[in-house]
Amino acid sequence: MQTYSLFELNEYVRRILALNLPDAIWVTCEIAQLNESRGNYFLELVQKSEEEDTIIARSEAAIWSKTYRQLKRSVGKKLADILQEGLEVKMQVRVTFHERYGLKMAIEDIDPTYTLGRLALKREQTLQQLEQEGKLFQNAELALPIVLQRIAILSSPTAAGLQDFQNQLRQNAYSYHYQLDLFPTVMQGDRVSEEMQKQLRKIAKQTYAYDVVVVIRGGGARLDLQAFNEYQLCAALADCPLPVLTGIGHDIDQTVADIVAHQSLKTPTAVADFLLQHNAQFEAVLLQYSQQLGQISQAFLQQATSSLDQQQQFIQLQAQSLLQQQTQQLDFLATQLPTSAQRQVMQETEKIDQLSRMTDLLSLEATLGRGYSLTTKDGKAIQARSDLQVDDEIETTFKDGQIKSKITARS
Amino acid sequence: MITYEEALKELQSIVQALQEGNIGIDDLSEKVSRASELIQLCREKLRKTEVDLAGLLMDNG
Repeated sequence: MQTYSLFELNEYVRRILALNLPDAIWVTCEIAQLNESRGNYFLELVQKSEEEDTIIARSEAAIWSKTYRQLKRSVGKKLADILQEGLEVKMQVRVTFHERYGLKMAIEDIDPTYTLGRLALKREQTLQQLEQEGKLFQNAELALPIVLQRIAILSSPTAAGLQDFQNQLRQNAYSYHYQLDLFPTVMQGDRVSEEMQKQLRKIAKQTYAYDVVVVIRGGGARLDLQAFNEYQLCAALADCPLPVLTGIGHDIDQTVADIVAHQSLKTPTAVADFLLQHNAQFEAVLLQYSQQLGQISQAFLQQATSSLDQQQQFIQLQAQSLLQQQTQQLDFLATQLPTSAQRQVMQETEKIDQLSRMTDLLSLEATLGRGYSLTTKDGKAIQARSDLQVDDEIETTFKDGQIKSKITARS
Repeated sequence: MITYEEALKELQSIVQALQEGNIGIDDLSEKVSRASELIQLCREKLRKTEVDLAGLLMDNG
């Protein structure tokens, strides 16, 4: 049996490899780990079985700094997005074997469309599953309280977007008060889903203490959002008993988390704006009511006042016309009174005169009848001796006629 | 303490009753002052501070 030295064996392996894999080849795999050192990237590549999540293949690979710079030029900004732990990639690798350093895999190229396609597919699968389970718009069906004041925030304490969000709410132009409680979670990497689900469970136990849950994440790489397309997390958001608002901070397409949320907004700042506008809208309704109340009560009072005025006017008019009527009657009576009274007085006076003349006549005749006589001078009755002087002519009336005499002496 | 929803509901019913003329002149000022109170309460609550909360706790104690 032939015995080889280790060098001979390794040299043999190198030659076999070099013969069979003369060129770089395209490989699909998942990045399990990624480390950078002096511009060189060291990757742990794995392949998992489709059914279970177990690793069935594993290799180490490197992107040398020179290649990395070239890739950055050809792939662009997406490169950093694609080189993420947990992502599926398609890379061109050159496999070499060195007698002393063993198997080496040098990555020479990357196909970004593959990764994007895989992510799109994963997103699509999550969407389909949520739709089948009727969870896609479950959260959107929750009633949003008319005022949103007690906010449960799901975010990373170090997220730049969180600071913006909190500042905007704490120093708002309306001086509205907000209770901001942070439920800290990582927002990047492969632990996002797990940590967020844990915090969501915590919030679900105290729904009475909050009006709304907001998911805040400030900017970041697009593919970092893969957790927000992941089924478990999206289902947990859909099942949240409180309305969820998202401000995940991205400008390309929506994540599934955005679709599942009650309301999705582009940035954390937009979420803060939404919370402010929502409450301002409520206050506007209050002010509108206040205005309406003012108008209604004014109209009410006006109506009541004018009705009183009307009554008053009516009473005044009524009283006036009554008074006028009475006055007219009195005036009429007053004009009537003197003439009629005068007439009556005159009539009565005349009557009395007549009567008195009649009685005078009657009483004189009777007296004369009894044998008395009446002496007059110039038609005036003489009642005393002193009424007469010597030579006065007097007339004496008897029952049967008159005689004239002349006074001769007053002895 | 009254909730925003409760306050809004009561306000709506007052305004509606006023609009429909279901409130007599004698009840007008009472209803309007209740409505103003509700509006004031909500607007204050929107801007409540920790100090107010402490005040409320003291009131209850």
